[in-house]
Amino acid sequence: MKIAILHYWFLLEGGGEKVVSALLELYPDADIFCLFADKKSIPQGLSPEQFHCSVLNKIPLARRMNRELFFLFPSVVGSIDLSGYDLVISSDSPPTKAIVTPADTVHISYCHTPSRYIWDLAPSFTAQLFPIARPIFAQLAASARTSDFIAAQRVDHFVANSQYIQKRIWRYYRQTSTVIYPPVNAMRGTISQTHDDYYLSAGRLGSAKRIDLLIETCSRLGRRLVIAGTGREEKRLKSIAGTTIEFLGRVSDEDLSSLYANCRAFLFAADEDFGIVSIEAQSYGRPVVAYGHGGSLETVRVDDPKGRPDTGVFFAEQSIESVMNGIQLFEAREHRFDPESIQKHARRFDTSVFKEEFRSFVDNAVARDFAGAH
Amino acid sequence: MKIAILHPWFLMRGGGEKVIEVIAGMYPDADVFCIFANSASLSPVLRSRRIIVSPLNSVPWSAKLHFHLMPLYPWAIESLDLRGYDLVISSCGPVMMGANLPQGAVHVCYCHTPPRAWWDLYAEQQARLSWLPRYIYTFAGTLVRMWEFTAMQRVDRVIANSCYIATRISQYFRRDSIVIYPPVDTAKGFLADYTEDFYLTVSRLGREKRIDLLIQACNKLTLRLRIVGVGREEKHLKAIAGPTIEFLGRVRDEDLSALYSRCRAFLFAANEDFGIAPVEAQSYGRPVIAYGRGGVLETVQVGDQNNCGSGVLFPKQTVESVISGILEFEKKEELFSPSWIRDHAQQFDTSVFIDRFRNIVDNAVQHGSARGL
Repeated sequence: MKIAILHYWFLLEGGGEKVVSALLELYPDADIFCLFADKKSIPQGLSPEQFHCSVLNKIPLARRMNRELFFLFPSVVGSIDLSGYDLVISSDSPPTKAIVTPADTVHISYCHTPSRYIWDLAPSFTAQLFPIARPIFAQLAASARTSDFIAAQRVDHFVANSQYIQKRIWRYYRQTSTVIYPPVNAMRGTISQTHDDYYLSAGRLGSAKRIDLLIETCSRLGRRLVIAGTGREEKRLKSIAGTTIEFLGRVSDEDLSSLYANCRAFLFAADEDFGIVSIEAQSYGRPVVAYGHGGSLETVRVDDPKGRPDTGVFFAEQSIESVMNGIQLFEAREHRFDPESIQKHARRFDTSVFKEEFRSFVDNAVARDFAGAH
Repeated sequence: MKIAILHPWFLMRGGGEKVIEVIAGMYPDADVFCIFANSASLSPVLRSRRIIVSPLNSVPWSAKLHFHLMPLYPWAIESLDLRGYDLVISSCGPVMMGANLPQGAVHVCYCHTPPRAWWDLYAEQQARLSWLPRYIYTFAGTLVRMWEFTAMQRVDRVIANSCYIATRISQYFRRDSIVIYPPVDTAKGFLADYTEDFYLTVSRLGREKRIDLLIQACNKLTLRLRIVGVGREEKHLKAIAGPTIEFLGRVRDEDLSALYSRCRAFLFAANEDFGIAPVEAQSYGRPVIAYGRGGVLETVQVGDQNNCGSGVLFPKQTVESVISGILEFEKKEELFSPSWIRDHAQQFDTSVFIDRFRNIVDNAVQHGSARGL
């Protein structure tokens, strides 16, 4: 079976790239196509013949403006020659599903989320723009939505990365999908017998992650907060941070491991589609204090109907008061959390589970489609 | 009932034009709409009709440039004025399914294939263009594909010319379709008293027909091959042909009948959406040796324990594969039954097409566009 994997870009180590790496472990001979790539971020062990990048990657300005060029993506991916492949897997968030596949090719789209800034975040994104840019973006986004919807109708099978995204796929594309959680390296985590008195936040420092809420809350409560990660918001976040807040920038894997293992709890205020970091924290047996919305509802176990122990607490809103309530609630229940059962919960999201589920999904889908066609 | 028949162009007479002539014959009062028309290429059946052309037809040299005007077809079709028509029968290929219909009209689309230059052959075609047209096509492609997808959603009944095309329609337009094979004049075929020692192929001499493979195979096996047809590749093909290969060019209908009926077998290496010539050959009771992809999988019956079928299929578009096909044929040549093959071909006859097509149209008209109420 000849397989092509289409991923939007390899520019930073994010959740999408982890999915592609896991897919490559499943299908080491697959060819990879992408819009942009940084030499550093290309998956290891690929031969040059296996890796194909779009023309856009040759234009330095285009690489810098990868996000702004979203309206070109359908045309660029539409020009990729996919003849001869039996299966095409598109890893889709920035719109890459507008590919044209031969009639006997199966197209599976692994959807991290329908592109948020043309769909659910479009109004808030528009509001951030200069007034003069707003009508231009509105127009481009409108045609991108049309193209994205139509391309979604041509996908053979959707895989959603969570139930939250499954609903979004239905809301915006009117397509049904199967949930397969993204791969997390959850077997590596170890449980430390003692822990320190700091709270931890890890991840890219982007405005959507709402780390500002965590900083302000911990400053007010006088709690230690350790922040691992870098990003566009770093400067602004440092300017609002009090004395109990510590920025570590980029940290090595070993350091991150010990940070996870020794934190009091992991704080998470983002409205994430899935939220890999919060699973990672749990794989070290640490509880999570999270905004009770989006992917966290599936990654953090609270009030389980089957009565299994909680793995964290939720707060209700993205506001300082609400985060404060969350932290206080956690501290009141802190002694009740059982690291072993938290870790056990996290391991259900391990890469091995992803690979197993994805492989059996593909086998079913391909078998079914071939049976249907002949 | 006022009927409109929509066909992309009348510039040459190919398979698509034959279908339209049959449909036009079924509906003698229908008006014919098209993007381009060249009155010299109109068949006698159509010459007496009212032919309405799109504004694109008045672009200078449009008959020559028609391929390059592709990005403008959607506009041309939407500008056709169909007010007052009750039934629209469109034929695509290119984009005729996107016509703008009045509310009460019923739309039946006979689809030969989703336009391949925008869909399955898009990447390949694009790679051949120089940079400026390539950029234009890159952007136009996205828009036209969206337009076509949306347009196909509004058609009341989609008819595919084969199961092969039905899967393509489903892949690109997500529409279910009914299969009606295109009309072939198989009633004309007859069984000859004797056959002669030659293989036959009948085709436009275009690159994608892969006649080069047939020539090379027959060169190697030193078998006689007669080739009917003209086209761009003629010179190249003649250059590679050995002494046993004979080019007959254009031939008259009577001569073609004689060739069909007396050949040992008909050779066919193209990956065609349907492929009329192999059906014609079978209507003369002659077996077909063909590349086993696309339309021939439906038109050529391979043998089983009880029956030799109507031909032999080879698996790849390579010289070796063609040779293996010919050798396999020669091994069981005596076992083929011409009368069985001729009967087999009758299911593709024009009369079958007319019956089934009328059925679908009548049904569509009866139920109207009431679907979804």
